[in-house]
Amino acid sequence: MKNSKHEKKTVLLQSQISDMLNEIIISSPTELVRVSAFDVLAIKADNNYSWLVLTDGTEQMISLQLGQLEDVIRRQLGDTGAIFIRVGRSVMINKEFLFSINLTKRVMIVRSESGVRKVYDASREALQSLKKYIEEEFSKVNSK
Amino acid sequence: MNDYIKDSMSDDEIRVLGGVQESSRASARSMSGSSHPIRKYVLVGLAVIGIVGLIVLLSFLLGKRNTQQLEAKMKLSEKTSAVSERTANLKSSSNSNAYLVFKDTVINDIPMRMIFPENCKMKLYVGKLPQHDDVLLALPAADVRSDKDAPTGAFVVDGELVSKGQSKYGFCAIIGDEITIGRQLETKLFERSIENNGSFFRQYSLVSDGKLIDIPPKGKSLRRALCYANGEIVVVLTQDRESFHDFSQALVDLGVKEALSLPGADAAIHYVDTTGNSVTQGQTIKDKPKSENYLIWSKL
Repeated sequence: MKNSKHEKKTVLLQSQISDMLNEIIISSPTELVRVSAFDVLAIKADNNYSWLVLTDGTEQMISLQLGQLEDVIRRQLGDTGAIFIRVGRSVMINKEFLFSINLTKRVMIVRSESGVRKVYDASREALQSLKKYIEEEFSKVNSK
Repeated sequence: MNDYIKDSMSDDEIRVLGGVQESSRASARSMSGSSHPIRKYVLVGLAVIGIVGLIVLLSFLLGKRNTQQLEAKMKLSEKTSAVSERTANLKSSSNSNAYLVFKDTVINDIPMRMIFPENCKMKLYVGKLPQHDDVLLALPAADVRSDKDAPTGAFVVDGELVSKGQSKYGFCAIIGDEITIGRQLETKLFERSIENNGSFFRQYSLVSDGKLIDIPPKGKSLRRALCYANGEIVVVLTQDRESFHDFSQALVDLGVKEALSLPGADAAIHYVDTTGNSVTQGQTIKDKPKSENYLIWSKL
C-alpha cells in the first residue's frame, strides 16, 4: 500500500517537473507571463514587441523583440525549443500546428485543434526552406 | 514582411530553435542554402556598417520609442473587447439635392458638431485636400507612416491595394453604396473591397457595438470621428479640445453604435457650409506625404 502511494507521488512529481520544463516564463519588473510551450501557436514580431498567439486564440503582448524572445525560449526549453521555427524576421511558428505552406501565395497557415487559424506571409525562399525541413523531418521519422 | 527586427535573421531564412545557440544558427545557415566562405566577410562588413549606422540612428530611435510604446498600448487596449460592424446604405435620390445637415449639440459639457451628408457619394481619396465645388466635405482618413510614406494598416482605394497590415482594429469599408464601420482584426470586407473596386482603411475604434473602447492617451485635442448611428453615417467633430475617453463617452451617450477616430488636431478639413460657402479649417502643410488621404462626400 505504501509503495503504491509512493509511486503515485513520484509520477505526479515527474509530470510536474515535465510541465515546468516545457514552460516559457517571461518576466519583467512589472509583469510575468507563464505559458506552456505546447499552448503557443505562433509568435509575431511587432517592432520592439512580440505577440504571443495561443492555441485558444488569446493574444498576449510581450515587451521583447522576437530575437530576444527566441533567446529566452532557447535558454528555457533547451531541446524542446526545437518545436519552434523562426520563419523570416517577423514570425516564429510552433511546427506542431503547421497546417499548410503555399509557395504561390507565399503564406503558411497554423491551426490549433480548437479551430484557431492564423495566416502568416513569408518570403518564398523561407517557405521553401521550411517545406524542405518538414519533409526531411517526416522522412526521418518514417524511416525509423 | 512589414515588421522588422534588428538581429542577424533575414527574411529569406528559417531557424529551428532548441539546443545551444551556435548549433541552431548553423542549421539556419544550411537551410538558407548559402554557405560560401565569402559570406563571413560580407557579414563582418555589414556588422561594422550596422554599428556605425546604429550610433547615428540611436537618438532618432530613442525619440520614436515613446510613440511605439504608446501605439502598442493602443493596440492592446483595442484587443480588449468583442468584434462588431454596422453597415449603412447611402441615400442617393437626386444629383442636385446633395447637401450637408449640421447639428450642434452638447453632451457631457462637450460641444460637438454633427454633420449628416445627404444624397452624397462617399469615397476614399488619395492626394491633396480636395477643394472642388463638387466636394461638400473632406476629412483626413488613415494615418500616414512617416518612415514609409504609406497609410498605416490595410488601405485599399477603388479596388487597388495600397498597403497591408493590421495595426488597428477599427475599419471602414466603402463597397458600392454600402458603408461599413466596425472593429475586427480579420474582416472579409478587406478582400471584398479589392474584388468590388471598393475602398478600405483602418483607424482606431472609439465605440464598438455601442460600448466605449478606451484608448490610453490622456492628452486633449480637437477630435473627429466617423460614426454609425440610427442606421446612417454621421461625422462628429468636437468644438473644444477633448481627451479620447471623454469624446468616446460622449459618442456612446449620443447613441452612436460604431465610431472610428479620424485624424484631428490641426489637420485640414474642407466643407461647404449652410450658405454654400467653401470653408477650409486647419493647417495645410506644403510638404505633405504623397499618401495623404481623405474621406470625401461629393455630389453624385
